Amino acid sequence: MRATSMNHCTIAIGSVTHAMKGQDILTRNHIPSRIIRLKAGETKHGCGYGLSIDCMQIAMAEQLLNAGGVVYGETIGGYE
Amino acid sequence: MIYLDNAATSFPKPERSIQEVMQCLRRYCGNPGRSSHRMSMEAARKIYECRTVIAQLFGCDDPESIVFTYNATYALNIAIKTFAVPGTHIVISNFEHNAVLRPVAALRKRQCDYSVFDARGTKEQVLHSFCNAIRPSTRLAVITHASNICGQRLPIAAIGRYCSAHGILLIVDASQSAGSVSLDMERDHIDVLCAPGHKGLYGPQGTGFFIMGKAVRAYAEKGDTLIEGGSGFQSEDLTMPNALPERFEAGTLATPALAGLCESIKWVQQIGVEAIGAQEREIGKRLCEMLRSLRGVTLYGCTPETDAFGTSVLLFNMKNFSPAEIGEELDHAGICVRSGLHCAPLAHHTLGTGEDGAVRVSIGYYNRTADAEALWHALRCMQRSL
Repeated sequence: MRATSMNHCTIAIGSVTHAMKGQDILTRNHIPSRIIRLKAGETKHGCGYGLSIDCMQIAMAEQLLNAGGVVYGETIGGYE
Repeated sequence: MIYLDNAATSFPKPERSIQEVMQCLRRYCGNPGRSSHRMSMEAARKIYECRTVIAQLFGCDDPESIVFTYNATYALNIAIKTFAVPGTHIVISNFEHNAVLRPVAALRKRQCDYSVFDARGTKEQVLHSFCNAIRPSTRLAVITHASNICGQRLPIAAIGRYCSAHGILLIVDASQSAGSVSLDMERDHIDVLCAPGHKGLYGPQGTGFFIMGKAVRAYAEKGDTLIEGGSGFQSEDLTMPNALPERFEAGTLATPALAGLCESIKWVQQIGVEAIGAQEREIGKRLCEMLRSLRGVTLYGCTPETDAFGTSVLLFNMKNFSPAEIGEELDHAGICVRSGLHCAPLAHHTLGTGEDGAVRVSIGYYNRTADAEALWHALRCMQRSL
């Protein structure tokens, strides 16, 4: 699946506004990310947007998103 | 042409705003928040940028708290109808535009009742009058920050402090003050701020928004929606997503107009809200003096001599001419003003202008003292023609 390729994980977010807010927070904290579109079957909450980042940085990213008030769902993917 | 109808919509618009609208239409006008291709993402990025500049301007931390609408009327309707639970008593001022009065009156169908307080006088008098209108069942106050027909500005921070201390939710109509008077959601204890993009923020028509303060967001995420439709995510659900702002933004946003608004707000920030307001009020003050020098001219409401004068809107009538005749004659002289009731019959009743209303002159940043002088000359010519 696209979202779980190689060493990239995707944090499912849903709203494009929250995805952009999340990306801005991560960029300010030197965590590169890419906003990607997620299909309905890829997440528990249906279609929407997600942030694709290096799986090694997922814990830090989630912490930053929480602190920034970004609403997100599950994390998809990881090392295979 | 001399444009003195900036309270209806500002003109001209900053060049950078016009250029951005064109850029968007020519280069990146994809549907924001619907796809992952570059045009859709660039459009979404511009809209997000617009949210961030609005958040900065009004002292709000969270760009997602800004909900875009087509104008302030839509913003006020959505905000009022979202936060007025059945049985609520609502307080409004006697300077409200129909964008507040009509939705509040319509809520009588939901067993809501409303009282009108007198917003004339000093800050202390207005606050006293507001407090007297409060009942045990009052849960909502919907108040204009500045009148759309005269220079009257209401003491929003003082009213906000009172509301905050008494568990009353405050919705502010900033249609005539956003961009020319400083407003801060936290400092002024505002729960919901509604504004148009096309007046003092100098954006294109078709833009407006409301901003929700921290205290009301949790309720808004679960409250009823007025409009349902596409949201770009969670499409399988029969209800709108809880997440703000999309919960209240069904359908495609006006991307080119919002792109223009984003740039016009940056322009406002560059000049400074206080500097814009001060310049406009200075010309308003000069015009007020000139109008007073004309025989048969009656000025209504708050004028620059009074403490509450906070905007650059003047309202007058001239003996032997109806407001409509004055508007028409001035148009022939190349001067744009607005006559009539200005969609604010309650405010006109408050000022006692009569059933034909009056003539409104509203100054914008692009006006100069020479424009006020031209108006004065045109009025004097009309008087002499009798």
